[in-house]
Amino acid sequence: MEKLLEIKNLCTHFDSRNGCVNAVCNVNMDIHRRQIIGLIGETGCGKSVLGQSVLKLLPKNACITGKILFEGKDILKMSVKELRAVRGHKIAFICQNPAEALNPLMKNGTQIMESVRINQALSKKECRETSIDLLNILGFSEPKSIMHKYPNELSGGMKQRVLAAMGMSGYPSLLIADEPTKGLDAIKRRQVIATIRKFTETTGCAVLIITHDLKFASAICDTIAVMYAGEIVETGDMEALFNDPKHPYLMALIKSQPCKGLNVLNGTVCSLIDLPSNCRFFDRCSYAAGICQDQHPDLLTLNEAHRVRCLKYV
Amino acid sequence: MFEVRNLSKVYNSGVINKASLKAVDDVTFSVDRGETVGIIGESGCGKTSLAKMVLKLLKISSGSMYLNGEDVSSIRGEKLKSYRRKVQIIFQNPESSINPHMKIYDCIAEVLRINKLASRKSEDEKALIYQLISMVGLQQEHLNRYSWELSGGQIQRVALSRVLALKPELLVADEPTSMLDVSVQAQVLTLLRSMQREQGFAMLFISHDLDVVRVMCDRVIVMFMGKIVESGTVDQVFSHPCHNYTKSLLEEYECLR
Ligand SMILES: Nc1ncnc2c1ncn2[C@@H]1O[C@H](COP(=O)(O)OP(=O)(O)OP(=O)(O)O)[C@@H](O)[C@H]1O
Ligand SMILES: Nc1ncnc2c1ncn2[C@@H]1O[C@H](COP(=O)(O)OP(=O)(O)OP(=O)(O)O)[C@@H](O)[C@H]1O
Ligand code: SF4
Ligand SMILES: [Mg+2]
Ligand SMILES: [Mg+2]
Repeated sequence: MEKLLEIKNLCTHFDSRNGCVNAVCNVNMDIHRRQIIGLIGETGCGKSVLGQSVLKLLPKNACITGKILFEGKDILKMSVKELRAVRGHKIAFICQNPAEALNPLMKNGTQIMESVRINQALSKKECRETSIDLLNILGFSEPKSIMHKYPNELSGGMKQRVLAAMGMSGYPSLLIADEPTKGLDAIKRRQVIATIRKFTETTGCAVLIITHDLKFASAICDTIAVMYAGEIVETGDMEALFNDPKHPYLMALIKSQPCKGLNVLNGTVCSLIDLPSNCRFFDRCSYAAGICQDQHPDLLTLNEAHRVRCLKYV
Repeated sequence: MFEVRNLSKVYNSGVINKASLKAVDDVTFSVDRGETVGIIGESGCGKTSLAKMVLKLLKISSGSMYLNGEDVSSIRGEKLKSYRRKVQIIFQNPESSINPHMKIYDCIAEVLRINKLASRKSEDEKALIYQLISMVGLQQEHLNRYSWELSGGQIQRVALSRVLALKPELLVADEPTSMLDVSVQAQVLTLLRSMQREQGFAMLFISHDLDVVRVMCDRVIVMFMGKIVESGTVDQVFSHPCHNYTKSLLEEYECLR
């Protein structure tokens, strides 16, 4: 498979009054064409920041280092003009908070058509039709009436899907979707799965899905990456990862699902400001051993597809 | 303890092409002290509109609501103020409930001050805030930040800490954990349950996650296009659904396992 995006030693930190917040630490990740890759992990562990770093969509106090090669070119070194050609066009980002992403003063239809128009040279009528089609495949039964409404007249889940329609309108080669199923009922969620699948098959688009929904992730992703406190702690094939989780964090995560007994993982994640020099999961790990106290584990390759950051397997 | 009778909400939109939409249609239900009632249903079926009416953030089109036997459908002034303190909500989008220009410390302190739970800048206030944030699993460094410097889940916990400080009689939770990963969700849900046991509040719990509803709720209401189409204990509804919509919802949900 052809590599579409290559993230190399990506670090993103924020300057804040209390010190430097290390939101993403040394992340390496490859995304291939047509691949659907899921990014899961504790809230606040840096998933959204990682996604936003790819498009440099971060506030001024952020500092990004490393390399992000998209079709061979480093996004971090691109000029404003080059970056604009990539954003929305080749890489689309569906952000986590639909309420903030939509312009409250413009009708939904105008916003979707606008993003269709930017990406494809179409007449106004064709733009309109494309927009309606997009809303249709995203499970709206009355797309026309949605087009005439303002964002605040829609429910949470409806806004989420309008945003998805805008993201898909440019037929990007990479779609980054931050919590695309948040606030959707089971039936709509299945539609989103089917839509994303069909979209990757027909257009060859790769998808990076950031999600908390483990069932959704296991239903749609080929590959999973698990983050904890800014680092990737485990990656591999979806099947292998969920059937045979290796990292103690992932094991605990799976057990804390309501259907698996709602077992609480005690403690809190370490502060991203003063990070420990040993294993970042040490305080909460039920497998912690002596060496874990003074060593920081590297990402260890268990087999070709499965890698884990834990000293237990050294 | 809390009761809703024949509640409806009609949205009128469009100045020239007038259109009206019945978002909530003739809804009747009740919640008891210490009880949790789940509300499930299609996205856009009127759950948030219903929640906002219960909170009196949205005008009721018709119908009535009762808290401890007292009609609260059209209360005003002091009475409304005290109602607002007794009935609290945790929103789907916690960002919207937190002022981005205020540090988290002040966001929490504001609630304590307005409700006179602690005097401004006192040691008591500080101690109470530290206690609240540790209850919801945040650290002291977060207090010094602004809401845009926190992750979604962290903000949701700030919102939760503000609500718990007020010891409400009725808590409406509108997808309180949709922003949280499953391990933090487990923490927040267990926290909610234990706070409910301690404080005895009634809870209306809106969620799309049927597993969560199963573990959290005593009874459940299924809404479809603004109407209640089915209700009963969680066991009844989940094991023997009657309405076609409930059946297809459960089926689709079971598919993802
Ligand atoms: N502008 C900022 N300044 C300082 N810190 C920030 C800023 N933006 C985010 N952070 C911090 O970076 C960390 C990672 O945030 P991020 O939004 O990526 O989390 P996340 O993994 O997406 O969590 P969630 O699942 O809750 O959305 C958090 O601890 C957050 O507090
Ligand atoms: N301010 C408004 N003006 C006009 N219509 C509105 C307004 N707010 C909501 N609606 C409409 O009311 C209906 C119900 O919306 P509501 O937000 O209550 O749904 P919901 O059940 O909470 O959905 P979700 O699960 O997606 O959050 C939707 O069809 C929506 O389009
Ligand atoms: S390295 Fe040690 S402390 Fe860290 S996750 Fe592995 S076993 Fe646990
Ligand atoms: Mg996020
Ligand atoms: Mg809602």
